[in-house]
Amino acid sequence: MTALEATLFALALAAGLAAGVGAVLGRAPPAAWRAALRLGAAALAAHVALRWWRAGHPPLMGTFEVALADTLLLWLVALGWARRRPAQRRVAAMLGLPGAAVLAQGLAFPTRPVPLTISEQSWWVDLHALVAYLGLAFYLAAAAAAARRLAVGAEPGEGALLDEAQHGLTAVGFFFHTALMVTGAWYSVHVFGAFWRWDPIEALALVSWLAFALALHARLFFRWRGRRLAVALLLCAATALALYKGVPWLGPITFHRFDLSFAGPSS
Amino acid sequence: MTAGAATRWAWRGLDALGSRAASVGLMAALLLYVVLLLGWTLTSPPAVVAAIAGGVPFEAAYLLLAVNTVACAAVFWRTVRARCQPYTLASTGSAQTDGAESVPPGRVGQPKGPLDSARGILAGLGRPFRPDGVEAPASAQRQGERRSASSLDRRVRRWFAVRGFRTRLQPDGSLHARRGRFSALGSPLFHLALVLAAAGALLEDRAGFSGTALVNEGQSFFGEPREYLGLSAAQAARAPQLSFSVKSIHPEYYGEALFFTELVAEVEGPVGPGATRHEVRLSGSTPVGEGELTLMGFGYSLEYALRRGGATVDEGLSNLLIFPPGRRDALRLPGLPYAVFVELFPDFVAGPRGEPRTRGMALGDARLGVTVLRHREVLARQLVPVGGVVHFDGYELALPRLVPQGQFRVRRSPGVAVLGVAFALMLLGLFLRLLWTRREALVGPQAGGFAVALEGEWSRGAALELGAVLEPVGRGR
Repeated sequence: MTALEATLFALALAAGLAAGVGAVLGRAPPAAWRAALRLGAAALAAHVALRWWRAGHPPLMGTFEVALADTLLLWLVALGWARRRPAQRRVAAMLGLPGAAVLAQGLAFPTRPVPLTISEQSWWVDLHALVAYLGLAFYLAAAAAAARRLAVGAEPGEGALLDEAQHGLTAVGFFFHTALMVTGAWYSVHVFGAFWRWDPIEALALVSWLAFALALHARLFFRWRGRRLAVALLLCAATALALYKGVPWLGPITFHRFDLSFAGPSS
Repeated sequence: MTAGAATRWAWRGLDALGSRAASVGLMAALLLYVVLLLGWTLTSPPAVVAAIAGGVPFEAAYLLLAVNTVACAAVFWRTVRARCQPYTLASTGSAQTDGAESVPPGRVGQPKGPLDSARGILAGLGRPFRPDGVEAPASAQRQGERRSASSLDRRVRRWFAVRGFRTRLQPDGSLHARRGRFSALGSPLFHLALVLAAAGALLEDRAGFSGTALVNEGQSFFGEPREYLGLSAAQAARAPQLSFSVKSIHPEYYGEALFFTELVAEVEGPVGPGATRHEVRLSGSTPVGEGELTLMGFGYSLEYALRRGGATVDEGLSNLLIFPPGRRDALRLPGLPYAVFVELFPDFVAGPRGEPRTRGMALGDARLGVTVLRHREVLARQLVPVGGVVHFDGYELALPRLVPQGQFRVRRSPGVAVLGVAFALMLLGLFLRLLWTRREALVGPQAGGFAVALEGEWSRGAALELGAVLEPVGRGR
């Protein structure tokens, strides 16, 4: 990272933490949480733009770049959510915390930009990565709504709105998750000659997709709402987190890992 | 059993298989299966996991799920037709301006109850809203009240337009907004697309072809089954007709690492007159003849000449697996009792103890580590440059040239088009069902505000948003 990139990164991390902690504790006025999240997203967007220009490709090569893109899109989703649903802006601002955690995890990996390897030089990969980032962002937002739904208990007003939010955000996340698997399968046919290869990440993607599909069907068929649905969605979100953030820990047994060093996350 | 009874029995069976419980139960079973497979992927190569996943219990689950999916779509079809009815609010009559009762209320059966007025929508929150939904100070509320009704009417239309609604002003001044009439089609579309994708995958498995061949720079490939590596008899029968010549193969690396930033082969196909030139890469397939080509890997072949007493005993080009550095492969000398092992150091540098190493992957000062054995006896062990000669047992082994070698995948995919259509329908179905839900609104003026009738899948949050937009309009009137 250059000095400017490092400064922007630190600013984004601090702003995200401030927004998240402020929203969880509920001490500062709501406008302050949103301003902090906006500042974090702006700093991160500037960092991503600089890095994109320097590396010559969008942020998809290596765990650090994935962390940048994941967090940026998560915070943009959070800001959009807060704008559309003012009553839930506190929950949206809490997403500053998982974003900061993802950023911090990215720091454990090589931060030097590297060119794209030959298997990544395709628009399909760019699309695959973009829908992956969006899928995680909406799933994490849904998880935040579900966690808040558990916290508010049987409160009728906010509870009903959170019910809708946890389902609506999951539905959007599920759309992007499906797009992730579709674009991956399509590219795999053209590169490897097989649309499905039983890579651990592919299997985990299917586990997570089926889990979310079950939760969506449970809501539709058996009227799961409220706390029961919230618990189910939090369990599903755990599989999504394992899918999206477990990649670097699997090492060379998956072809989905793109860090130059294969020795381990801290090397 | 009569034909009618048989039909009723079949329908009942289909209905049972298409039931909610059957659907969720099968999905849960599949989830459990995939969790087991996930465990295997962590410990076994993909080919082993694929063999397990293709076992009878798994295939039975896939089949049941496919039948269940088709049954669900069939059973659900009548509901879909009913839900894709034309928009109803506009056709139920115009909104009158003399009271809320004249505007039709929202239909029952949706997740929320009917909402009768903008003020009513907001009553649940019990706090003032500005049009953008942010709590407003009192001064801002007064400012909002002074806005003209016409400019705020435009705000309402814009609110609908931004969310993808089509709006129409009714002759009596009420506003009809609608979107997502065919949203209900999304569910059967998505589920049938899953079955179509399975059919595409099956077609690909049964009728598709995928083979790998090593072809050197300057050589031609004619599509004969024997030219492929380890082709099964079934695959050999499906080998596509194609031929091509490799004109050049060009790799680029990131620094000194085994990390290709470019790998491209220039090929001409078909061999003979009428050949056209193509660039073949890993990240995209290139159609040649009846198949498609992808450049999967890179290596080197070794040209050699074995001489004894000035006469050439054997010569040729051997496909050796000596790339990336660290791999050793054996050069076969037919009819002779020698084993010749070769190792490549693309850009030689001596290690701390004088041992050979390489600076990087690109060819620079290339050296070949050659070991000649007869049974277990080492006859020669030499590090020679490309173009050098190894002497052993009265023989002279010349190694004049390394030739770039491409690992090409030849593929013919009759199922890919089906898969592509299935994938597109899958996404379209999900989009319609989850993101483009059917909503309809009729907004009519009434004394002191607006009356609103909502129909379709309006969430309470979206209705509140609409209410927040309408509330200042009402106050401004």
